[in-house]
Amino acid sequence: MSYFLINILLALLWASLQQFRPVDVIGGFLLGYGIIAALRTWLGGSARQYVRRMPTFALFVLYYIWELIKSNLFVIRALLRDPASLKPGIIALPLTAKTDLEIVLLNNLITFTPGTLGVDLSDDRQFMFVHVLDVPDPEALKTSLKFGLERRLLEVLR
Amino acid sequence: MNITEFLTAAALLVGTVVMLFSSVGLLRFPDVFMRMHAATKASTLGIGFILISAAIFFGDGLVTTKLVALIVIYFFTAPIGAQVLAHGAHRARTPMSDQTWIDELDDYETAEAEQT
Repeated sequence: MSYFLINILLALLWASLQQFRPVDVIGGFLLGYGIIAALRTWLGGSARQYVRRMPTFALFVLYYIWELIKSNLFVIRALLRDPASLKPGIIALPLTAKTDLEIVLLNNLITFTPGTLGVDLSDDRQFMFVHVLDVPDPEALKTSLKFGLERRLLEVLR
Repeated sequence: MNITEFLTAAALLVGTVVMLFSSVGLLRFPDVFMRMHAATKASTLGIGFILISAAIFFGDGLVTTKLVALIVIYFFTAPIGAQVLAHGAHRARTPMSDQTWIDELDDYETAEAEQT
């Protein structure tokens, strides 16, 4: 992960030598990424890992923004319709994530999306309890969270 | 009115409309947990759009960098607050609305209490 910070520093350095427009920051970031990618053989294993993960991370961010917009629209629609027709509930999501960092990030991502809200974690860390605004089919939602958000998050982290 | 002004106004408008909807949600949803869904909505898309509009308005890399940092910091703090609130509410046995038809956390706690 430290190469990510180096990449950001390179971007800021490049931007400060230009006029520091948003384009300069993005361009500097891409340039820095190119430099790290070109030097990865000499920088060693963690640089190679960073170069490989960065595109996955970018895809993940785009995917998450899309999910965010979708669920926002869903909640707006839900409250404009009759809120009494919703079927809220707390579901137990079985976790594949093991370490503290993975669980905290997954919880943040789930809670940040409107419509799902992390409530608790079981003592043995097997389940995360999530309050959902409208859950007609709990099993389908569990599968979609597991193979959507969690799988993609673990792809970036592992 | 040039294109920058238009984009600034449009993003600001979308942000405030989303916030308006979320306060409507606070009034209309029946229990704590469902109201928190409405509250977190304001804080994600609403604030996101308002920050985007500020970034377009200034059009300056330093301001944009600060705004991106704000979003990142916000992402790491806001959900933790929401999660702690929800946890506390559930632990204090805050009544949930009658619509709530499935509570696997309650089932889990009951099963665990029976074991010990």
